[in-house]
This record gives sequence, C-alpha cells and structure tokens, in this order.
Amino acid sequence: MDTDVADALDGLDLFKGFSYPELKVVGRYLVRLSKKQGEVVFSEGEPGTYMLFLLAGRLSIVKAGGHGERLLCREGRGRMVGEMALLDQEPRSATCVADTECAMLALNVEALNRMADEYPLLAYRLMSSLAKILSRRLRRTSGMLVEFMEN
Amino acid sequence: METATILKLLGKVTIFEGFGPGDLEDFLAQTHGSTYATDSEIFAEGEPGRHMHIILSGKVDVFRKSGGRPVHLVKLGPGETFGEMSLVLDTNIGRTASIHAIEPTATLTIDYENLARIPSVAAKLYRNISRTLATRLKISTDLVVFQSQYGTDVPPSATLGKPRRKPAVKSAGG
Repeated sequence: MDTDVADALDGLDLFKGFSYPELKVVGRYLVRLSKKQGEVVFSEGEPGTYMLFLLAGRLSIVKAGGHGERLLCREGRGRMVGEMALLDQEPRSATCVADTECAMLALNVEALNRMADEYPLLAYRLMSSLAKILSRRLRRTSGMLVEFMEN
Repeated sequence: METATILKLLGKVTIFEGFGPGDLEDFLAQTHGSTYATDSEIFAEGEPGRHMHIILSGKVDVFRKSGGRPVHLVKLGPGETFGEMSLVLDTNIGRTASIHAIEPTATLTIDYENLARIPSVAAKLYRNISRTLATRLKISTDLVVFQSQYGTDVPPSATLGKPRRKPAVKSAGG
C-alpha cells in the first residue's frame, strides 16, 4: 500500500524535505525485501543494480581480505546501503549480511530511470539529496584520514 | 565557438555521461559563456557561489590554502569541470578550492537555479556527481580502515599501489 511505504520513507535522510504525497509517488518505484538473521543480502563481486533503505533490523558490511573477513561497518534503521550499484552498476564492493531480521526497500536502476522520465523533479531532488549525503560522508571520512595522518 | 563544436566537445565530458540526444541541448540553453585571461582568478576558496564550469579551451590550476601557502591540487583542461561541489554542498559552505586560469580560458557556466529548470537533465548530472563522490568515498574509507589497522608506519599511498615514500627519520635528540 502506498501509505505504508510512504510512512516507512518518511524520516529517512535521503527523503528529507519530500512531502507525504511525493513519498507516495517515490514509493511506487521501490520494492520490498526481507531477510532473516544471518542471510546474505548481496555478495562482494556479484553484479549489483539496486540500493537499499533499511526500515528495520541491522546489517553488517564486510569485505574479504588477505587475513579473512574485515567488518567495514554496521547499519541500522533509516540507513541506506549499496548506493554505488545504483550509480555505476559495478560489481558489489563488499558483502552485506543481515545481523537480525531485516525489512528493506530496494530502488534499482531501471526504476530510477523510469522515475526520471515520469517524475523528473522528484528524480532530480532524489539525486541531489544523494549527492549531499555522499559529500557529507566524504568530508567526515577525509577528516578522519587527516586526523590519522596528523597523529 | 560553434554549437556543433561545443556539442562534440561536451560528448567527451564525463559529467555528461548518460545524457541523451536532447539533454546536451537543454543543458546548453541554460549555460552562458565566460572567458578568462592568463593568471586571472576565476573564484577563490571560501567565496560564495553556486555554479559549475565546463572548460571549453585553456587550462586552470586548482589549489587550496594551507598555513597561508597555496597547495596545488590539480590542473584541468578542455572537457573537464570544476565548481560542481557548489551545486551539492550546503549554501553556507563556500568554494572548496581556488581556481586560476593559467592560459587564456573559455568556459560554459551553469548555476543552481538554471539547473533546476531542467530537472530531467539535472537528475542525470547529480547522478554523475554522486558517482564521483561515491568513488572518492570508497577510496577514502579504504584508506581510513587501512590506517586504523596498520597505523602510520606505512604511508597511506601504499594502498594505492604507488611507490612508498621513506618515512621521515627522527634524530635521536640532543
């Protein structure tokens, strides 16, 4: 139902500033996805075409390395993962595992392109919002890097 | 410069990846041209401004100030862009670097308001900007994780497959 999805999107960082009717429209381009505890959501190296919004539960992002798996981060309710696949459709750069039972919404490239055709203003605001979030993250990570290098 | 030449050049511009046939023309209609003499300042770090430039001809130098001295970052030439971060960052954050023309330079400029008039094209532009940011973020994150695991004994450039610099040798004191 439109309103269920709109309620779920309301409050997510990416959709700050979107009105409720707009969230209902965006919701039509998303697909529900659920995973049980321990299930792999996507694997490093496999083709990826969608990003995920985590509505409930917790995910771990892990990367294979020379000395075994390395935990990159954990994500909780309201966070997004896998946006790189939406942007360039390269193989997944890490594995995503459900730490707990998870409820998610997926946005894939095909749906985004449809949104850009049918509701260009919404697609524009969505992409602009995504760029803002990524640039903030980059400033934070760059800041952390500078701190490491200064100490 | 002729429209045909501009369009041919813009076809090589990475920030326009995925633009369809009409998109470039829609984009062009929202831009205006600027020219800069050698050694002229295009904009300074910290200044307000919400427009990006696509270089049609010439060359520019990108630098930041650190401890009062300019730190050169990169030189940019035809087909490359600068200023796109001003379309993304909060308005209270000024230009993230300074840009000087080091040759006579011609650019096309588009600002935030004009871009909003062509939302379909703008969505593609922001997607491309996001892609660049996400790639930089991946590199940055890898570096941070590396640093946290190995400390500062190994320079972060080692993670990029570049030759290692010798760590600075501290004198024993006295």
